[in-house]
Amino acid sequence: MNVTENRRILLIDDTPAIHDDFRKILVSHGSSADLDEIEAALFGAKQQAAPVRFELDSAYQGEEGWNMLRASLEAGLPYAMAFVDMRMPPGWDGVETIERLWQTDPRLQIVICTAYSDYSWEEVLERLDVGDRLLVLKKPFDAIEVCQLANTLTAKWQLTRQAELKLAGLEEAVRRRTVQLDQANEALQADIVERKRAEQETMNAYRRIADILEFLPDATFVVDAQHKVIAWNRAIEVMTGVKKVEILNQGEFAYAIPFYGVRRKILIDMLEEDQQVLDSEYPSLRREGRTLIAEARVMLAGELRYVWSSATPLYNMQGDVVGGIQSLRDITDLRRIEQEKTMLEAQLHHSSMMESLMTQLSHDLKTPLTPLFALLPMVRKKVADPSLEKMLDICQSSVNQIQGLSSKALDLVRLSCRETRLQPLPVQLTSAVESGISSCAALFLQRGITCVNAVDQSIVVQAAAEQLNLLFDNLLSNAARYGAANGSVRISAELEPGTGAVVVSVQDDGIGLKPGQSAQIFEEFFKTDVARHDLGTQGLGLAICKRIVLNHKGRIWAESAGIGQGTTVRFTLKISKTPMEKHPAKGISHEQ
Amino acid sequence: MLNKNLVVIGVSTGGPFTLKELFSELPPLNAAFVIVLHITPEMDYRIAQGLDAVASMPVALAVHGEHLKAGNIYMAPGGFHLKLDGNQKILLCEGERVNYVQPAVDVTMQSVTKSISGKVIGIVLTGMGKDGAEGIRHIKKIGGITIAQDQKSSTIYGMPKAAAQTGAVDLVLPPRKIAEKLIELLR
Amino acid sequence: MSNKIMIVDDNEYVRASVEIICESVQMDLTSAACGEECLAHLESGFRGVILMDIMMPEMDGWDTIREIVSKGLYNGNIIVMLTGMGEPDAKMDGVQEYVTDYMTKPFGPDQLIESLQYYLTLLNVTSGTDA
Repeated sequence: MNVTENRRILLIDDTPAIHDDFRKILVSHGSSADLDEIEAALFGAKQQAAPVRFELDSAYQGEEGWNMLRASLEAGLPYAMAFVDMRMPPGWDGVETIERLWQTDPRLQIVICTAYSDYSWEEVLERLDVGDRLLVLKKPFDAIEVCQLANTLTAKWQLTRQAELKLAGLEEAVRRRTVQLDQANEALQADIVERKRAEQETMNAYRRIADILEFLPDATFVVDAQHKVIAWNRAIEVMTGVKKVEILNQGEFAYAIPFYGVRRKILIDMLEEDQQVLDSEYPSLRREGRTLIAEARVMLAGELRYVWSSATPLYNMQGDVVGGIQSLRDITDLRRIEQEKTMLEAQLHHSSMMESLMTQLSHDLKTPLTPLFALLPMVRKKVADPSLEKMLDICQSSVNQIQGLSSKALDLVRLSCRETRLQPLPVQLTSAVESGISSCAALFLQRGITCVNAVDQSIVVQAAAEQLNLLFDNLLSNAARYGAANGSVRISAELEPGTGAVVVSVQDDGIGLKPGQSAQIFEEFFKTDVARHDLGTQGLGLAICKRIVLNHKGRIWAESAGIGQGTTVRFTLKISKTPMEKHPAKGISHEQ
Repeated sequence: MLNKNLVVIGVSTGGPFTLKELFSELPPLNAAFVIVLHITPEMDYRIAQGLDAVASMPVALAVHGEHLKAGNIYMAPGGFHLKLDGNQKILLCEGERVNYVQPAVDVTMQSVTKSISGKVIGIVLTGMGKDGAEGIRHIKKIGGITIAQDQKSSTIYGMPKAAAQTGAVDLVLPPRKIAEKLIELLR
Repeated sequence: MSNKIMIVDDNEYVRASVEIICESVQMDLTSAACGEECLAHLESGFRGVILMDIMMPEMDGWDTIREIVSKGLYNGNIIVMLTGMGEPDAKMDGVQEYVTDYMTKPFGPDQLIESLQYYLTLLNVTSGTDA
């Protein structure tokens, strides 16, 4: 049904005559002409082509009317209004009927027709929630009153309905809009969450990078495009003593201060310089791709240090320079070691040169020595004059000294020569001792010194026999020279537990050593007599001994209780692992 | 009577003097001494005679086919290698130089065989080169006693050093001590 | 009885020293300043004890000896090396039997005389009958 045109009216009255009256007024066509005129005159409307006419349904009891209302709703043809009589015995009365009607269709406009004042308006209002849905028509009523009521109330019903629909429509639109907004909102929320997550990721990434930077072993700092310090890691804090808090966000070359004491350009600033400028003003800079590398001398903590440094620009995704990063490394120690190495190499070279020189010299000395050696004794023999004899003796001593020096120096060089490899063999220790004793026999005799060989026959060492003999020669001639006259020299040997070595001792009871001399005596040309006039010795003997012991990878040292209390020289040799063949020749036992 | 003890001595430059020194210390001993000195045929008898003059035992050039007798000193003649047959009989052989020399000490020493009844002693004295080193190794292997001269007393320490470095040398001594040792061993 | 000594050395003082020493014991000294002179003397008939230096320019001691041997001039001589070289090098391989002794410089006169006298004795031995 067209909402604009609901003309259905329900009349509920127990008096059939009322129904007829109403029908005549509202529905009948016949006698409506003058009514139309009256209508037109009342409502000011022009005579319409089709006069307004209503549909009227009748019910004679309240309940009946209520049923018809229900049916009408189910059919989708609701009544716009109803006229309801106040009294309709035996059934419901008007108020009760209206109650029911409104329960079912609250939109129904109702006119209550009442002849009596059974109920006052107040009482009606009490019983019903009237709103603006109820009008009263008092009997007897006019046709005009009825018409007015029918027109206005149906129109009102229609308007109300339209408003409702419109409202519903609006509400629906609003609801739909609300849903859209909600969805949009959700999407926005999700977007926000996502963005937050991405931000967090980036933060984490930066944090990781910052951590890495922070704990890089190399001192590192980062500047932004304005050369303000944006990172200053732990290592550079340690290197410079400047903490992050003091330097972060500082610009104006603040990062130069820990190194140079003043604000100035450093390597990281060179990144922006023109290559030509760099080449001309800073020729020591090296470039590897985009990185600049340089070494510098800087003051750190008051000390001069050598620092190696590299600086690289930082780029964003678009390829613009957004800052720079510089790493530094303290290479002072490395430098120092390099310098030491160079020095040692120079020393080594020098030593080699000295060795060659010494060897050459020793050889060359032999030539002039030969006639001296050969002829001095001859002259001496021809001379009878004691003063001349004395002169010649002095000359002879000198010549002997020269020869001794030259020969021992050559020995020392030969023993120290790096090319010759020792070829040690098992050697019976005591035989080397014997050899030494016999070569110094004359000197021992001259000074009345007794020499005791207490070295056990069973001790066999791993050594080069000729060097071992030379070792004992030198040690024993020393002992003979510095041992107490008419005293004794004792040679003994003890196994050193756990090392596979034997400690050999040569002990004299002679002039002894001053404290502190015990290391000195092994130095070349050292002599205990400060003026070094003693021509009988060259001061090389113990140096030779030391070289021999070192060649055999042993240790040598001297002990003395003090001046006048004798000296013991001790050294170690490796015990031979190869047992010498059991031989009757060895040992003192005779063959049966 | 068959000789029991055998002493073979190898020596070269500095030999005459060293042998003089050694043998002037030795009394007659119960052994046959075979000396191999690097020498020429024209010099060999001179050295032998020179030594004979100072030694307490007779010195003569070894003769091919001769049998060794205790208490005698035999010198290998120049121009031949000397080999011993059964440690008793002298065999002179011609042949290539060994170790650049002739007579070669190695040849003589290596011809010595293990002795059942007596001592075998090999000695290497002063000399240039390394003749005698292998000979010493051999003497040691057959159970003999080996001696090399020490560096200090050697005119040239070449041969004794080479011998010592084989690791097969029992004693390293100067001539006087070698003499003492021989007396001790051969009494 | 030969008492002839030859000194072969490129150093004049060495030669002079040996000469003085030899004269003092009535030994007859011939001097040669190099290997060639030595050979010349030998070819002229010198026989005796030759004191030979090793380190000489042009022809060293070893080469000289080899020349002497190859020219058949060795017999009747005793060669003693007289040299500043501590130990001979490998160049001596093959001439061992021709080198009877080896003395290092510097040497004392007595030491030299003793050796020379002994070697002269050896040279003066006649083959066969001497006791």
